[in-house]
Amino acid sequence: MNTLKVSHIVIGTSTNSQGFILFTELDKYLCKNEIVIIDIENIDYFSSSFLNSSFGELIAKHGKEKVKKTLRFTNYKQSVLDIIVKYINELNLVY
Amino acid sequence: MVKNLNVLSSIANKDLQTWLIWIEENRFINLNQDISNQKKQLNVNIIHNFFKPFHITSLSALIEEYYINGFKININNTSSYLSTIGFTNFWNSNYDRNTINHNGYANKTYLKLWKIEFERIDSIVAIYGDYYKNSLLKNKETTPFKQSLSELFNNIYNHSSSKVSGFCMVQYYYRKNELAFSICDFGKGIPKVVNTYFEEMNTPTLSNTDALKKAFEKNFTTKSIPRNLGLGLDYIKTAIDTNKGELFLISNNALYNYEPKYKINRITNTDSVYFNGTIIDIKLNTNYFNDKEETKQDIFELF
Repeated sequence: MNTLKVSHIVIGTSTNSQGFILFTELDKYLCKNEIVIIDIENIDYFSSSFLNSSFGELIAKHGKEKVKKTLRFTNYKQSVLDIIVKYINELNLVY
Repeated sequence: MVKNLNVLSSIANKDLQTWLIWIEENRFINLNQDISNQKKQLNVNIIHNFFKPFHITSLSALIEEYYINGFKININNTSSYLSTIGFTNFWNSNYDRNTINHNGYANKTYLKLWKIEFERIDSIVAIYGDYYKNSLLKNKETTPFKQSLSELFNNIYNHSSSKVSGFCMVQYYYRKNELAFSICDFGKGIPKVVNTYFEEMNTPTLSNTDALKKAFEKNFTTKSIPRNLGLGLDYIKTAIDTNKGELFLISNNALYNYEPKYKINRITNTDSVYFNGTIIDIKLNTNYFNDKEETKQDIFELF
């Protein structure tokens, strides 16, 4: 299975620009319908800008159902994972 | 032209509004003289010792505005604190503005003053968060602090259009277990940004207090970045809720005071001051920060 380590791809998780870098990498797997494990070791926060430009962009392009079926997470702190899960759930209000 | 600024305790010891009146009165943009062909110098005489983060950030923005308009800055200061945080030498040509760590110091309650630069947001947030996590807040996660800083920095970049950019200062208070941080910019101000958006959308504009209230509504966005969803300020409020914190913000002539532990959540008009910019003062109680978390190695599925 494909694994993507976030700390190897982006220099931080604050900005739209770094979020878009993650989007670009994840998008490759989603376009091929391949499951990808996102390793978030050493990541301890995500800003809303980063989330909007990464997971938000993915959901806008591929739809929430496909994103949820394709992405997995590992090496996570529970509170950090909760930020992502909450964000994806809140997208119900918008998309 | 020589401009003298005297920072006196009689002003600095008063409330934030009184302080901001003094800041506004002394701003470069309020100099009503043609100084284009003159030699320019700003003398800042500091006759005060106890500085809170909001003093530092707003005074720095004030000085920076003179600096970028060609003034030589001369700071006369007796406060060792201001020297240690880099303030005293900040406008010297050989001062390294990009280093906020202290060389050779450990367990200080503050890092150096930072002028916000968008390109460095990620690295600076990491330095701030990790510094406290590895020194004064051992065994704690600094997630809400890092997240709040990120949201504030992004807001300045996305909305303020400030020539001065903004300044950030962080201070940890041992006795209160409180992490206090202030951000100040001389940008448009939040109410003005909201109303500019409404004008562009041909929607009726709001009073400045209602515009500030609107800005804090979850999912309200001025769409400065296409995919942004208006969650940033809500994330900050969540951090304050969870960590028994407080927020004090003045932008244009609107004041927001949010202290959920005292059930205070009010936006009022500042009758005495119109601040051309935004100043935010946030405190988080670190007792409520999560203990250091273990990393889980299983594979989590969203479905």
